[in-house]
Amino acid sequence: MPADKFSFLITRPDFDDTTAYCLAWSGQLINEANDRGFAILDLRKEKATLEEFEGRMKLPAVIFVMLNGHGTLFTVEGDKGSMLLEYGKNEHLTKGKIIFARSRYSLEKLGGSCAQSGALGYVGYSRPFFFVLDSAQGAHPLNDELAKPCFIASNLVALSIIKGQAISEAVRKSREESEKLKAHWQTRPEIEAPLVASFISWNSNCLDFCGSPEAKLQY
Amino acid sequence: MPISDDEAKITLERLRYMPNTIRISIGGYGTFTRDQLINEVNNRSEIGATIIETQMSYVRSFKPKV
Repeated sequence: MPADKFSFLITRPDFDDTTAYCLAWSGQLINEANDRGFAILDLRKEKATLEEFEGRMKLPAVIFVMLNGHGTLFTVEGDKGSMLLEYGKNEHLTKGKIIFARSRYSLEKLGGSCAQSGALGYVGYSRPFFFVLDSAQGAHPLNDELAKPCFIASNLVALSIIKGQAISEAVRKSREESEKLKAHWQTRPEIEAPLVASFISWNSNCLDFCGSPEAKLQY
Repeated sequence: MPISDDEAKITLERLRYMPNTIRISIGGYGTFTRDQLINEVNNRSEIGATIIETQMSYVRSFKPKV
């Protein structure tokens, strides 16, 4: 494939525990995209601003966009509450791209609007994304066994899309993996295991997509 | 959907069973300790209602399908 023609844009703000975990767990996705020849556009920490985001989104080479950050029904945010993608404002920038938002609530309103504005597909969560943090591992998100299953299931969406699978297949695989992880955590001895299992299940139930089920990256 | 007292009690019992060191990230709402979540549930706040919803959804998933 003419790999250098295609870019993976990822936003990774880092100003609280939630965004710090999302930043760390997105490293796996960057590595996979890099291995497959994508150019990586990484809006990390304070670079996750509207100006930087819109500038990258205008590049036709950007075909897959992953947004880590807080959100609402109508927005996905970047660094410290700065708006990146907003209903009625800049959804047109998603035209021809696939979006995956690891952000609460944005699927229905913002995702639907992006799909209507020409996005190939928008995968996201209809409700808050939950995970458990082990306080003892606070400085090392990748070593946090309690947070790990929720991120494994979520990351599988992006990994599947990067590998060229349709967004419906990416969501199906994530749900399937969630069922396995939930079953595993239902039998784990840790006292926190029931809560971890409940959040794996919740996140999976809240994951869905807007746009054509067959939408996939064309490279 | 209105939250019943029984649903809140079930959620509180599940939370009280957790160690006090646990923290939970709830999207843009932030990160909460066990005791903070117990307060949210007792106050029936938006966050409390959401945590009740997660636990009742999970508990109901064990109900046999007819």
